[in-house]
Amino acid sequence: MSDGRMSFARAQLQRGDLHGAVRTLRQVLAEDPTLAEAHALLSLVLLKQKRLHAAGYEARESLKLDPHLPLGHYAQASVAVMQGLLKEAEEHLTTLLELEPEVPAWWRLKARIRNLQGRRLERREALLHALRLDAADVDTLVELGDEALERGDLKEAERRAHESLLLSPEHEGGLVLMGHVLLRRGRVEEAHEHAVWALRQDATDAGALGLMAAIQARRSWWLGMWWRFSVWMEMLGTTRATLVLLVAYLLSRVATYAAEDLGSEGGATVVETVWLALVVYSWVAPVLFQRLLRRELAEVRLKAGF
Amino acid sequence: MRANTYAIIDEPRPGALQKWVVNPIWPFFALMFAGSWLALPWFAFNGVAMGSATRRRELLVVLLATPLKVGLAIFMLMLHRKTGLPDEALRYFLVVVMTLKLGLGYWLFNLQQPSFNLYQYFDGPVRNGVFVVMGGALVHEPVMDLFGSNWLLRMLPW
Repeated sequence: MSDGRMSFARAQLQRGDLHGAVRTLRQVLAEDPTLAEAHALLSLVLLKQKRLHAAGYEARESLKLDPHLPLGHYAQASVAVMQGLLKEAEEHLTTLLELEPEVPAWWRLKARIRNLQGRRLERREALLHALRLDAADVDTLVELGDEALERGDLKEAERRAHESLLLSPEHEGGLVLMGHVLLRRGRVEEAHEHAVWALRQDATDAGALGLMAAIQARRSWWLGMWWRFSVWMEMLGTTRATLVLLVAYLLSRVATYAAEDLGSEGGATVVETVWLALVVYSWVAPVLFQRLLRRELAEVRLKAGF
Repeated sequence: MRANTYAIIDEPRPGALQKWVVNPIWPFFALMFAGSWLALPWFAFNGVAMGSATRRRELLVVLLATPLKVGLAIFMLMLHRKTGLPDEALRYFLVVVMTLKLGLGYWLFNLQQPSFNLYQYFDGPVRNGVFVVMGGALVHEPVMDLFGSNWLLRMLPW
């Protein structure tokens, strides 16, 4: 019974139905809270929802129940990567590769860790190893393409993007990769279509939003600036975004007082007005950004209709 | 709220007080338009009412907020005296205290918001806090006056 639901939850996670996956796993765990694999899978879903604290808890639970569960180590390593605890991630990765040395996803995790450590060559080696284990693994192909793009090898990036989209035409990462390749080749409209396809699957995907910002920058520099700023703010996270606002507040107050003390009442009014505008903007900007994003997505839907 | 299911650790566990839950943006606005006297207890109550997973941390921040604010104000005042700058320069020092107050408000808001999002996702009832904020703003001055004219005492409800 729970086997079927575990596969269902896996499928839900794969197609991005995160709420659905949580619901399914919650039912599985209500019936059997000692199912280590369900805890590990739940941890991965929570990680995708950016619920880092709960993801860490579930990963630890899974390893408590079964210290040799590869998925548990994978979940724990993924959480550690998100927390920036690369040493802990490395420990779980080592165990993981000892337990199951032939799973491409584990090698991709190794590549991710190496990338964060700045060991680029080892990142490529890990990805090539993953590809040798499964030549038709779309995620591996996309990550190799990303790696090639970062090195500036446009030819390889394009080849990997082609291969991945042939295998899975709707793959988000593949679409974003191809979009970047097209953009570098100056084919802005085609790149735009790829970005929209990717965003229609996940409108919060950092890669797809980054691509869209890069495309907007090609269209007009000020629109590009706004996009880049909005994506930057969206990706900043609440803590850092709050710090940005607090520093801005502090600076604006000091600037207002300084303008008054220097006898420039007009200057003080200007600073106060700019600060107020910034505050109002910080409230409406996310809504504005989402609206613009939806408009971009709707435009292409219309084109497809034609 | 979710009987007979597995509870995930960061999910709120509301109790009988849940009918009084508001969006944490309202206590935050209360901090800006009324004062700590209203905002801090409201944040604490709201966290407990929705059964926020981070309510202990929220309560700790609420409890530490006033001593921190007063402590920093005293420190900045001493710093100002030590520099020997004229009285007009004092406001440059006190703006740091205002930033701390705002920062603590943001901290509480950011702590409570994820729990509130989950609480809403599970269809928990939510009240509108706008009238409490407006009422708080109206009685702000009389509340401050209760604390006399000593600026250090007035710092408590501010």
